[in-house]
Amino acid sequence: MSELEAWKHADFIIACYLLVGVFVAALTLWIFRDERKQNQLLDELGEQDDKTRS
Amino acid sequence: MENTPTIRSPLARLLTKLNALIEYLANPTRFMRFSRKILPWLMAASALVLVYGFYLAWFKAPYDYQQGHTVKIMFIHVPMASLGMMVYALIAVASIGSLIWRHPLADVAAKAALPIGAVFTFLALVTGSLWGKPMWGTYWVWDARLTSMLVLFFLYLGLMAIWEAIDDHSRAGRAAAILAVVGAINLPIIKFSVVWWNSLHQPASIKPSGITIHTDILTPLLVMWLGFTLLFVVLHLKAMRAEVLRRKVEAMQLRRVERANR
Repeated sequence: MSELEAWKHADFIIACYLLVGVFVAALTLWIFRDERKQNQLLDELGEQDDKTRS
Repeated sequence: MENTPTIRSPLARLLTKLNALIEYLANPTRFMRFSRKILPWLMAASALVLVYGFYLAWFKAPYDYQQGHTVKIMFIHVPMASLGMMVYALIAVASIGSLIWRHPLADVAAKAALPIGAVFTFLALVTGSLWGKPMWGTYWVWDARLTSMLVLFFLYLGLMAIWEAIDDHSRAGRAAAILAVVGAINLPIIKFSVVWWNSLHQPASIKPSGITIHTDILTPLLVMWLGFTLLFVVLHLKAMRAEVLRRKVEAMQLRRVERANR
């Protein structure tokens, strides 16, 4: 098999790597943003509670 | 009577240490402190190993004499498939921990792993399908391995649906844990499907009896597997942290409503 023949299905290979890249990046972003959002909410609630007490 | 020192195997010592770590992390505050410390290191390790894995997969690995460069799909398909199963095994163990020992972080761990396991299993199915078209001549066959992996994906979706449908954490956790433990029966079915049934899918290449893959292909495969495993640990810890924080926020909001109603 020549090098050119070996790349016969390059479209399928690239599609797989792109798909995995996009899905894993989206999952990572979603999880990181969720943690940041919950942290912000907790800070806001803490600040509001402090104001109410004072 | 004279005290005789007990000789313990390295495995027993490792299990004792692991048990001590699990008990130590049962406290959510301690877990948050511990995870904050180790996450930057894990993120760096995961990124480095994945970059090295991609380099090996794209620039170093030779092409297969039958598959050509399509073998590169295996460097992502195999880690995704094995992680899809390993994540489910982790969920099943965490569910047992939640049902029997009521470990405070067990259902948090099980819930946090669900979307990650679902994405990995989905990617294993799609990359396998994209490999199957040029190699088998079809995107899909109702083969035992493929079908049992599809069942695993549906189990993930079902467990996520339970968590979404039931508001009460303890009730949702119990219902999801029971389904997760029952669904674990699918794991040996996936693993041995290629042995038990006449399957189009190839049998395992890494077995206790020996490895049937050449080192040039095995090395990038193992590096990619390690990289994705580290990525899973990072994502799981992050998702667990988000879940712990979400429960704190909900508890604070509930206390405020109670105070306002008084």
